[in-house]
Amino acid sequence: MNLTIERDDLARVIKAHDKRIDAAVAIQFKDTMRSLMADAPGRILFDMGEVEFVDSSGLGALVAVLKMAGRDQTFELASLTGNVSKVFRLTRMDKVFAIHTDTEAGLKSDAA
Amino acid sequence: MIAVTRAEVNLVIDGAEAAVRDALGILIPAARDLGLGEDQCGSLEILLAEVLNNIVEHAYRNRPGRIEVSMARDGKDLRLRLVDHGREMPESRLPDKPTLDYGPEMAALPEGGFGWFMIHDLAQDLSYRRHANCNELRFKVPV
Repeated sequence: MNLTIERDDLARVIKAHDKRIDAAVAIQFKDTMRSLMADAPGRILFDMGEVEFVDSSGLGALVAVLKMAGRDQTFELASLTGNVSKVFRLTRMDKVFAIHTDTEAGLKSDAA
Repeated sequence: MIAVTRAEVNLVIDGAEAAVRDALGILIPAARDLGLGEDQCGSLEILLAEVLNNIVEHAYRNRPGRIEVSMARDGKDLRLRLVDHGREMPESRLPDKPTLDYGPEMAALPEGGFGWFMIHDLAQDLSYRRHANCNELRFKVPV
C-alpha cells in the first residue's frame, strides 16, 4: 500500500496513492494505517482522492482503522470519489464516518 | 448499426484476490458494450467484486479455478450468470440480507456483512443453485 503523510499541522493528513482498497490489500492497509496513526496527536484526515474503488473488505478495513483512533484522535475521510461514495451510501456508512468534500474543507471544519 | 446482445467470458483465475481486479477489468467493459450505462457500470463493479471475491475465497478457497460468466441483454435489463466448480454454498442456499445496525458505540461497529448486504441491494432476481457439481448464481441489473 502506498500511503504517505502529506502534512502534520492542523491535522495529520494521510493520502492514499492506491486506486483500490479491496480484498487484495485490506490487511496491508490496516497494518500500514496503524503505523501511520500511532503517534498522531489529534485529528487524522484520510485523503481518498486517488482511490477509485473500495469493496466490502476495504470498507471493513476502514471501520477497523476508525476503531484504531485513540481518545484524543479522530479518523475522518476526505475526497471520496464516485463509486467509493456509492459504497458508503449503500451501506449507510456515510452516516458513521465524518466525510469532507476535500482535505481543505476538512482542515477548515471543526473536528468531527 | 449493430447491437451486441450477449457476452460469454471464461475466466481462469489463479486464486489470488488480485485476480478479481483483472476479471473486473474485462467484465465491466464487456457490460458497457452490452449497453450498460456509466452509473450502472459502477454499481455492477461493486456487485461483481463481491460475488467474485466470494467465489475466490469461499468456493475455490484461494486455489486456481474457472469462472464462467455469461451476460445477456434482455430489454431494459442485463442478465448475468456465473458458474464456478468450487465448494457448495453453506446449506446450499444464499445467505439472507444482513441487517446493518449501527449503534452509537464505535467499538461495536461491524467490520463485515457489507458484502452480502450490497449483493442483495444491487442484484435483482438473485438466485443460486447447485447443479452437476457446479455453483450457478444468476441475477439481473437494469441498464
